[in-house]
Amino acid sequence: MKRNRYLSFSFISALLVALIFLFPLYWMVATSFKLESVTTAWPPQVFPNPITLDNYRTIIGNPVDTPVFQWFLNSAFAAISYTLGSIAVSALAAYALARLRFPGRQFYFWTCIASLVVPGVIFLIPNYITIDTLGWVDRYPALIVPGMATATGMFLLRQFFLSIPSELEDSARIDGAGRFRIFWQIVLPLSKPVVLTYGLMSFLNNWNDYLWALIVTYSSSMRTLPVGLMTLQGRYIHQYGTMMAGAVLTALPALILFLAVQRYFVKGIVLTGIKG
Amino acid sequence: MRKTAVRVLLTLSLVCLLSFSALAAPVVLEYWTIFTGPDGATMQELVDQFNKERAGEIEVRMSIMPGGNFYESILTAVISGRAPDVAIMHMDRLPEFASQGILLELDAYVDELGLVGEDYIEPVWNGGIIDGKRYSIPLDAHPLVMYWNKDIFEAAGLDPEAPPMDRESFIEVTKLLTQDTDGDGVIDQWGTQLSVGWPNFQYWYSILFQNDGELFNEDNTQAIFNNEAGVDALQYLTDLIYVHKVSPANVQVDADVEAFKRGEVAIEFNGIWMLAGYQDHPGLNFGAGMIPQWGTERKAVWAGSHQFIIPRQRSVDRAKVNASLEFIAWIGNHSLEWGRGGQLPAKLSVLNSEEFRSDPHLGSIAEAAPYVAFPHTFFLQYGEATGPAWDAINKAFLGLMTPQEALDEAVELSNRVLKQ
Amino acid sequence: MRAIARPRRSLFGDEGRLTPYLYLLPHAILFFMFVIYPIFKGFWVSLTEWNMFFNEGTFVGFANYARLFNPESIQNAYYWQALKATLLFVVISVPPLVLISLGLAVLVTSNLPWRSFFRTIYFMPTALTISVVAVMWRWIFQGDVGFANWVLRALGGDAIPWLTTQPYAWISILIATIWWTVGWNMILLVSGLNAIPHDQYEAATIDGANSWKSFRYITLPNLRPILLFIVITTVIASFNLFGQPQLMTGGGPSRSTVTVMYYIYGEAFGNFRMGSSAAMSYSTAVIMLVATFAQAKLFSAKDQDS
Repeated sequence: MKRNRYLSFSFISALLVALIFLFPLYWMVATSFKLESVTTAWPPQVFPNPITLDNYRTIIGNPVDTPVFQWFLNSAFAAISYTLGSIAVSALAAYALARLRFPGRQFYFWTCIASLVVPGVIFLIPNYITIDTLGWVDRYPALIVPGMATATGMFLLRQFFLSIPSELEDSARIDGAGRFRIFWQIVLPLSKPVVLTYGLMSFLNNWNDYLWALIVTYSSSMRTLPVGLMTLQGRYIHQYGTMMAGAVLTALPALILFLAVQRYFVKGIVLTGIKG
Repeated sequence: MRKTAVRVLLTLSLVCLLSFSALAAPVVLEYWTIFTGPDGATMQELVDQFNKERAGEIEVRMSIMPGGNFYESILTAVISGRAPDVAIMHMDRLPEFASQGILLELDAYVDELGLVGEDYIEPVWNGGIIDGKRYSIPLDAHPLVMYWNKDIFEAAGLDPEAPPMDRESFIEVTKLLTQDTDGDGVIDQWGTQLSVGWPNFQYWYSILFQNDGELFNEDNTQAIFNNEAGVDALQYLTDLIYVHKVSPANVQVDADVEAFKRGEVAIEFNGIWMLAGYQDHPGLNFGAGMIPQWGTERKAVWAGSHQFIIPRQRSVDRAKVNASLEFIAWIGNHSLEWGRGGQLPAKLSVLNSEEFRSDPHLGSIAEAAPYVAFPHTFFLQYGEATGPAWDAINKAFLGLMTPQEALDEAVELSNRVLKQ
Repeated sequence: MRAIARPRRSLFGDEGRLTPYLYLLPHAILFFMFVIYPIFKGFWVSLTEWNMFFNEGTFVGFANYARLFNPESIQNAYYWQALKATLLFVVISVPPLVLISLGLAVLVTSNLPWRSFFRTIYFMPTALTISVVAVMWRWIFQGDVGFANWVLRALGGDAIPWLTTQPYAWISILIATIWWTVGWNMILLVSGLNAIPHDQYEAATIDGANSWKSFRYITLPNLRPILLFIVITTVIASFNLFGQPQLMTGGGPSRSTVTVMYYIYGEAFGNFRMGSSAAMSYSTAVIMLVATFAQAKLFSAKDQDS
């Protein structure tokens, strides 16, 4: 009996909390479908009436000032390139550190780990100067290349590779397969869970990045969605319906991706066994 | 023999084709502006008209950036060789960027275009000159404006064409108009609303200058705005909130604009750029004009000014510079349309023209033109050095400090900035 | 019989001496350029007056650092103010972020119907970018017609000027931050909770322990490493607070929500003083490192006690 009461108490609390978590999203979406004159009405309409697409039309229909589609493309291109590049770079390095013997491998591994301790605040200015020197300011490489080699990626992949029994590779070697073929055709496919986890992490990190993208881009056509939304705030600051429409458009791709794959992501976190 | 002839012919035709297309190709100008409000739409219309008239010769591509963005990016853009060809800058930021060496000197070109100082509102014409060299060409002046709700005035038996114009009558009128109209014990109509944040610096600044005060000393090495003139200005404003209670405390930025649109505020102060927004709001019967003389010595009003600048490129492209100048001159000649969008054209001939003056609101606001007050000079750290004043005004409005305390603290911080 | 010659190790190919370095090369080049090199370059910049236009600096020794302590400099006023504001936020944000995430993690790992649904919902906000979060919450906390004030007034109270006065400005930022990031800590704790072997709980129940006791003596100790990780990373994240004050309050009212990151950013990209900004970032880094080590020590000292 007590268990049942406890259970329903938990369930109700969980439900209430869920409603609290969902409400701001609902409010953002609802406001985006309200007429501008109604958004500031008092008392506020809980459900938009009438429902209008005007705000979306304002944002989408203004490709000179608010090239939302361009921003989306920039974000997508940067995030995809970044994710693929980051996986490739980290996987290659992790394989060398896990399987190959060479002088300096411990040194390299621990240097990477040690760098995690360094606070991120100091990287901003020197990396900006490097980007400037390379002539990458306001260009795609600035959004893609800098963060590609991560210590986390190298670590996650190396740990996973180490956990793959070496017998699998050894038998392949005996059959005459070359190193790279083994890496490509055996090790990587087996590493799907961790690659997926790290891939998702990387994608979202790059997609949602705000401060770095803010610093390295300035023209409207190069902006990514998060930064584009912020410039929208300068223009439509009192047009709450329009602002919310912009926010919804910015949030949608990330949310869709998240909902599609979060299950694997959570599984992956468990798999990498962050226990300490 | 024939093969060579054919080759030569082909090459010749290719060259002809290319040079024709080069001749036919219009000069494309990248034009950066900071007009994020309805004035952006007005400028876009002007640009479209220019492009139509000069189709095939000059094509202007306009970008709109929020002010914060623009000032942060213009420097990086020039450095990375991707600066726009022509842009709009606020007059108070000119010294900063002129000193970085990123603006093209325009003295020679101004002569070529036949622009003379007498044609312009004096301070905005002079504002383009820094250290003896001209770096900008004025487009407009945009002052702080008083907007009043004519319906509220009439309902209270006041003359809707005669808003209060001095210190005492302003207090009287706003007291009268601060009411609880539906008898529920809560004041729902305010005489005025003073916002905590933008643009309250401009209210205070106006009173400071009306008191014959200045922000900084002659060589801009000391902040002096905590003197009598400054404290009196700030005290007057905070008294409106806490003593006369004609404005609510804690008005969020632009909440006063929204409230004015809803007809809940009798008198509101904001830039001339708000005009279009109020005109477009259905059912708002309002007047607009010069702000009252709250100060003791003279009439004065805060104003900003938009100025055209041409960034310095790595290599000077004469064709683009010429095209930019033609564009600037054209806009100047069409500044009536620009003014109608909510600005005071810098060109006196336009400002004082029948057409401009006959507009009910703009004509009335144009009365403010002789009284626009700028600091004796803008300088490199003007923005940073006035930052503490903004904070001080907010602190006083929130009742966290007395005006004297707040301004003293601000002057101390401002002096630190000036010492750098 | 063929003589078996000792094979000479080649440079490339499977057992090549250089092969491992080839695998390592892409990562190493990028890591060096954007992680190792900046640590030193940044320090160098902090010792100069850096000219962005020419991409070079004039050496000024420790002047930028000294300025932070010089009571006549503006940086002295604003940097420490920003640091204080940041520390305040760390203190008010870390406990809720850790405790709430712990509570939610326990909730979604218990015998709850629809628990993965709930877990998804609590985790979802982390998929959003800061500008969306800021726009969303700025609207909710809007002083006149925002939802928060509607609820307050409906309950008979007065509207609160959320974003323009303290302490409400911090409270608004705190609420938005918790909503946005608590899911991340929760997921880490979920994985930690799932990893606790069941027999520990079974043994405890046999011994007669109630749920609170098993939580205290089994769950918490097992979670210690993760909790340490979470506390440290949350402190660091709160130290780095930038987007919420920039987009929700603009640093206001009167600079009270200007955090250290916000000020460093403004000094570099608003005032164009990169040398000064770099010096501030290194000073902040030192403070953060000290804080991190102190926490780690504190946790391990506690470990030894229990």
